[in-house]
Amino acid sequence: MNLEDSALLAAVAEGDVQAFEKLFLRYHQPVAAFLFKMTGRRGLVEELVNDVMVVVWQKAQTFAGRSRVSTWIMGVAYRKALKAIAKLGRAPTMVAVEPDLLVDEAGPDLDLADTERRDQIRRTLTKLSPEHRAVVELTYYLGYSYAEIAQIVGCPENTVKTRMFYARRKLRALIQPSHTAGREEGRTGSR
Amino acid sequence: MTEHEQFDLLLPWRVNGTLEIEEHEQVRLHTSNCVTCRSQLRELEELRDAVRKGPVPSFDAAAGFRKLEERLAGDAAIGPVTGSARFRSLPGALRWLLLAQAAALVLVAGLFVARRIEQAPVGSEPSAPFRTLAAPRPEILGGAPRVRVLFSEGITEQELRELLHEMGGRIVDGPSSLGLFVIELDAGAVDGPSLADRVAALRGHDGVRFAELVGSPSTRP
Ligand SMILES: [Zn+2]
Repeated sequence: MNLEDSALLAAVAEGDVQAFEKLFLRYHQPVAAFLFKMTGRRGLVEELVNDVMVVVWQKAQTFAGRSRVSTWIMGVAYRKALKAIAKLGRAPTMVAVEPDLLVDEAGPDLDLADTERRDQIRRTLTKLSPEHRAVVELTYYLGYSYAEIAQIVGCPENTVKTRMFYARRKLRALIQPSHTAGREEGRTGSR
Repeated sequence: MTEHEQFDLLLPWRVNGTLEIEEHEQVRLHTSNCVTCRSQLRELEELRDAVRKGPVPSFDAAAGFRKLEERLAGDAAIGPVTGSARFRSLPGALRWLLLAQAAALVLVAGLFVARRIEQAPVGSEPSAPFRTLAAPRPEILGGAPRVRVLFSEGITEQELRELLHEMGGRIVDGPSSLGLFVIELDAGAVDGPSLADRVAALRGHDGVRFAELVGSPSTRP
């Protein structure tokens, strides 16, 4: 049976455990991946996902349908991630974690320079604040629109846009060596 | 804000393909005339690829669900079902119910007859497991019947008390991680209307999201 998310959630709200299991299986990987990308701690992820899903079970009835089910669930995950990060005292790096468990989705055809460049970008991402990083991950890992991200993180759309703008600026500053800094700026008119 | 700045803010979502048609078109037009935006697009594509192709562990969803079950079982101090092997061999929903029983929740059901409604509203999908699992079994009559209940978010303490009084039940366990309680019915209620009817009535109550008769461990065959 291929129920829509909203139908599944409605059943969950009625206490349907089978629907809950379906929803759990459907969202496990994206939620887990997002939590991993936010916290960088694989060891934390399983428990965090389950924290998220317990909230989904408990609060399904309060889901008002103003947003998509997926943005609602990711919103729960986002808040859990921020809490976990606050508890850790910092957003840990993800690159150095348990490398044997990592699955790089990049194909073998990728050349070394590209690979290094991407690694550099990913390392730099960990230096962003969790709020800024979340916008980047939600946009490019999970593919959400800015309107959906606004729902997920609970802020106005313009705030999402400016968070992304500052995230880009910081990435650019950190990634590009000084000799090329400002190469593609154009917007600041500082020179 | 200049036109460029305005469109620059939108570029990230042009790259992930989620702009609305109108915005997409505006951005496309601007970009075709703006060198800076074009180079920004290349940067963003690089960022997109780095994020998308970044290493992510693969997570085992089914194992995750079992862990959630185990966590729930861990919440429960009581119940006869503790061996995970036994869980594995049961259909998912039944596993869940046993788990919840282990977690021991429960409440009540008894004198709910007054509010009996024609059909239990819970699990109205044909495939919902609760229907069949909910069918009370005669063997349960050997002990005080217990009911596992999930109350509505909005139920007040006062309403809860009234509900319990009405049912002739008392809370003997809960709430579990999932918010389930176990209610034990007064023995006197047992020879009234059938348990099935009482559970159905309980489900019809506004303050109840889910109600399921559970066997008392000592009497379950
Ligand atoms: Zn431009």
